[in-house]
Amino acid sequence: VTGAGGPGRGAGLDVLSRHPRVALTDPGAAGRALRVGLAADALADAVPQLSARRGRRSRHGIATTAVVVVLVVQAVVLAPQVVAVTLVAVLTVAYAVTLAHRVELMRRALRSDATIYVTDADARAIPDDHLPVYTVLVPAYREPQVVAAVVASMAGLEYPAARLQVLLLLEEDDTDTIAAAAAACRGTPVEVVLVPAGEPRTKPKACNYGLMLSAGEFITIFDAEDQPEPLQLRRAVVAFRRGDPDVACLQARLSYHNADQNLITRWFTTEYDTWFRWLLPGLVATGAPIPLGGTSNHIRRGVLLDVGGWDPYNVTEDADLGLRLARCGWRVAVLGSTTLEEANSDFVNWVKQRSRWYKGYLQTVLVHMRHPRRLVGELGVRGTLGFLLFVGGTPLLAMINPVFWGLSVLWWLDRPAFITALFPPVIYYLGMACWVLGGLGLVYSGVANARSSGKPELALSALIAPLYWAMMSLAAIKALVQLVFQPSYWEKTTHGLSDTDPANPTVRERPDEPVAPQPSGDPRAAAHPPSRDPQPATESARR
Amino acid sequence: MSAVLSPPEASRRPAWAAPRRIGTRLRETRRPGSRRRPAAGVRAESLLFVGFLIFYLVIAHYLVLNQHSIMEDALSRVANARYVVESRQPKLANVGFVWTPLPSLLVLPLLPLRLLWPALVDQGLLANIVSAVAMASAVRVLCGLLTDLGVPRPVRIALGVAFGLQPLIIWFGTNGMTEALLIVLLLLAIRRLIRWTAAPDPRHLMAAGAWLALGYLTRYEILAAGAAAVVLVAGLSWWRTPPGRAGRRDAALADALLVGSPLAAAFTLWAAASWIIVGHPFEQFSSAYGNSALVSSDGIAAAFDPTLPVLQWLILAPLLPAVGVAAGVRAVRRRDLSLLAPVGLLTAIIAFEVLVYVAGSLFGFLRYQIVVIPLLAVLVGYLCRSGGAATIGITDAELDAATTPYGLPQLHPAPGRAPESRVGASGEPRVSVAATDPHGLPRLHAMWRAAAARPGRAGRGRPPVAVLTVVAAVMAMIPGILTSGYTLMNTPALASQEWTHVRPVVQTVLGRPGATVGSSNGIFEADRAIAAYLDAQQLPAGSVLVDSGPGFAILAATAELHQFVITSDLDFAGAVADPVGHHIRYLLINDGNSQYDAVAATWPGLRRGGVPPFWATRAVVFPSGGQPGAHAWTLWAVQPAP
Repeated sequence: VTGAGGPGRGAGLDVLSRHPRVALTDPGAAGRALRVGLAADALADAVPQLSARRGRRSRHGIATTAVVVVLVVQAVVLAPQVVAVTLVAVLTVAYAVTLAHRVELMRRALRSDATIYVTDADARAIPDDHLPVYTVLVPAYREPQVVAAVVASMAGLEYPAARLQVLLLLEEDDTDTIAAAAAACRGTPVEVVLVPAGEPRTKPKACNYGLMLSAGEFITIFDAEDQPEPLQLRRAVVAFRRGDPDVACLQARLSYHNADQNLITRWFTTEYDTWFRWLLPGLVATGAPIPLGGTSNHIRRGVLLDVGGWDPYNVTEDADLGLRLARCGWRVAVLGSTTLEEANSDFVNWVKQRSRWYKGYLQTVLVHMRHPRRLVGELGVRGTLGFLLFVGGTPLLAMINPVFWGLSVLWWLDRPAFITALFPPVIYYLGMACWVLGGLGLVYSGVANARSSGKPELALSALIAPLYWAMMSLAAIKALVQLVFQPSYWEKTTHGLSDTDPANPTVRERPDEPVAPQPSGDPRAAAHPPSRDPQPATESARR
Repeated sequence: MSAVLSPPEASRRPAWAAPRRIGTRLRETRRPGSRRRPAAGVRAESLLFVGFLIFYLVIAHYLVLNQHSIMEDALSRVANARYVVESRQPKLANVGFVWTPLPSLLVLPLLPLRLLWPALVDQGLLANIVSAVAMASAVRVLCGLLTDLGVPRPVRIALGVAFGLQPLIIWFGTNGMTEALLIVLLLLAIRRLIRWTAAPDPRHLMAAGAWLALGYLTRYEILAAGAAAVVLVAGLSWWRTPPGRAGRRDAALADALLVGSPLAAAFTLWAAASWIIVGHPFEQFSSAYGNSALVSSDGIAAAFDPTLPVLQWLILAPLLPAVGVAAGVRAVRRRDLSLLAPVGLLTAIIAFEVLVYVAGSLFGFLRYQIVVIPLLAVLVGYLCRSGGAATIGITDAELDAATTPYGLPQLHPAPGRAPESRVGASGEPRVSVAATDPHGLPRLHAMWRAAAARPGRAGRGRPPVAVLTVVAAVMAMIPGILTSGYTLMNTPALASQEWTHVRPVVQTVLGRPGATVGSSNGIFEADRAIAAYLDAQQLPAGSVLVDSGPGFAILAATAELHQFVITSDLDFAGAVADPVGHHIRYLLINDGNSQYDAVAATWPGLRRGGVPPFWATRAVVFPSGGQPGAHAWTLWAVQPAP
């Protein structure tokens, strides 16, 4: 990133690690001020080209933009037909390549699962005194009702309390939550950290603040209402110690406990299961950077301090961090352990959340494409393509969908001549293949994923997933508009809409195991692997 | 800082932190101590594939280029592919909707090779190449399927060879028809379903579903196999899911969707495309070019004979009933459900053919019963298995590992207990070790391997039981080879197409006189002559009007497809109604073909003995060669409007 030394760990960014630990953890006013400043701007100040913070526009950039705008306007005026055909062609090809890439990711994941699995026995085999200190960051904002759940889930983790540091990160002015936390956390290993108010008021900033106070060898984030699988931390420790030292981060799987609440949560669950069971392992297999999920990513603390934590100006700081790690030469792997979250069940709320994700993905692409040649140098051609197709392709597919669906509908209704003119034969057949084969293929993959993740009851809803795609398109368009007008605005997702009791979800998560059940003598035995209760115990005997 | 970033010292790793491979696949699974001999079986089967491919290609080459033995359907599929790219109005829809598109689409990318070797398209050799690849693949897939079943290698290779040498299999592996594709796609689907019965991995259902969908795009019959697969999968899935409210229903439904929805999608899409483009969803049945119309125009429906299919099965696989009963009994005794996959899918195909034949929509061709041959081979394989259901999908190395050097099974499951299932939660897949046959049948495979491992084994000391198995397996296949061969040569009533195509070739090879009597070989010589005649005239585009239904051989043979107005052209109907107004210079009218000819139907006066319209003058008559199925053509010149 910094040029000298090229990619690799040798090139370290040294963003937060340059500050002595004593200064970072200083409880006094000076330490606090230092942390506040660093939490918001350490990355943007140290490596501005890797942060989404808006800098002053360079004269060079403004001139380039102006020239491009003038050329485009000129082209549209002089040869609208050529511009339109070219645009359709480019979009169709981009669509086709993105689709093909997804299919390839799933194919790879299905062929050989790159997820790292650690057995229960292996996870428990480490003696407590060999376990490292583990820091869990739990950012929360205006969620007094879920604080008790945090304490319960943390208590459910099978990890010695003496080696567990749980930091509940609350905004200083969030009095309700602070009051609830003060009551609930007394006598537990959960420490409440008050993050001083100040812009940008985002989850990544709170996490950076927590990071500077953390003591663990490894760090992870859980959302307040998350239910991590009890052995997750131990599995992560084993996986880190067994694995390649280049692996800086393990992303555990996320899924939902309220899948059967309504149609949206069913779709959402299948989408997440596809994402974490197939697409991310597929990305790992292709050597592309992994956009991290919002929570349950387990990271080596030293690395995190080195690369500067999370970017508070990026609304998908998780995805951005995955990219930054890859650019610094670190690898991310997927861990076979599931954290159950609450799926967004409300339409408006879902669109808000999704538009934030898409906006963040677009932001991430823009940030990392500031210096495309440098990016290719660090990620390689394959890695860069994988990044663009996956992180860029996700919002792109959602945005183009309504355009092409609209054109198709218009064609069936009226057969206007301009549509014929827009699609020369090659592009027409390619578009047709995307529409028919791509669409059907994605629907089918949803059904298949519902089955392979042990949730056959979601197969029927997966069949009508195209309606879900319409919701995605809505969110994508909102994201695009917002990217232009409010790039750093954080659409807060309301939690606690689930009517299922998070401690007793009705959907049972299938125990984590390889994609493929291996053949065994008794088919029935293989169909139902010995199940273990994946839910954290709500009341721990240990505490 | 650097201390944090430095990798953990490997030397200081405790035992539980030992590096371990992750995400292994079934085929890579090795138990400590198992010998690493991955390729031997695969290599033998690959050799089998290559050997049969060359064998079929050589025969195909001889059939087409030497004997001019060209199947109508094969040539027409190549011609259809050609319309897509080389006609006046190139478009994908030109592939046609009477027949399913996959055979034509497969040759599509190879069409440019015509420039190097015109016979590939002229005489439809591309279709023969597709057949050869498909049938050689079928042999390979059959061997793979038998491997999955735990059939000892010598037996499965012998069965593969016996299957590949069945006269009907040879013929359909070389003649460009779609039977080879049908068989290989069915076997691929069946192989996956068999594996699924042993290990309910949804990936097997996905693959089986994809093969069935491709199968539907090859042959309509696959619908029946697909229906059987859906019923089988749904039923088994229901039965395997532990009882409980909605769980069973959901599991059965999801599994049925996985295996059936690709086929359903292919069916729907194909029907929808046909409906949108030619106005009817099922051209095979509704079109004047379809099979139903052909059968009724030939008046064959009246000659329906219920014993015909039964006789044909017995000719193709005389031992099928006996082997079927034995395999069935054995499967019931071993409670082996996997047999349902091959039996269910293949008998569904056979039932479908018989039903359609009874309904009068299909000829009584021998080829419609061809799937009894793979059925027999698979059933014989079931009788030669060295283990129970538990051995499905287990590699040779694992079978080795499960046996002692003396060929005796090492692991005995307790009676009445299921074989040990050891799917490691760590993701380290472990395959259940094959249980021995509870009924005391020797583990032939293990014994064979043990014998093979002994020093100085070359040709000596092989356990007689293994040799006997090979002999028995081959003996089960041989009667079919003999009866089919005999019927092909002597019984036109049971094997009409074979009698007109294969018999003359064999007689020629044997140097017997009278080979050409009743031979259909060379039937397209008139068509090729027409193409040459028209090519020589260097006509402008759109000069010659011909219905591609009967005229496909001309359209395949011509060097310049642009001179023709063909059925898939948007102006075809207009040109037929008003040839003069469309600047047509020549019309081609077919005589003696059972195929519908739209031009002749519109202008009956142009048929032989009719009164031609004023604007038409007979230019050239191209007589047929007199073979059965051959037809004559009349080239009419159109007087341009004054």
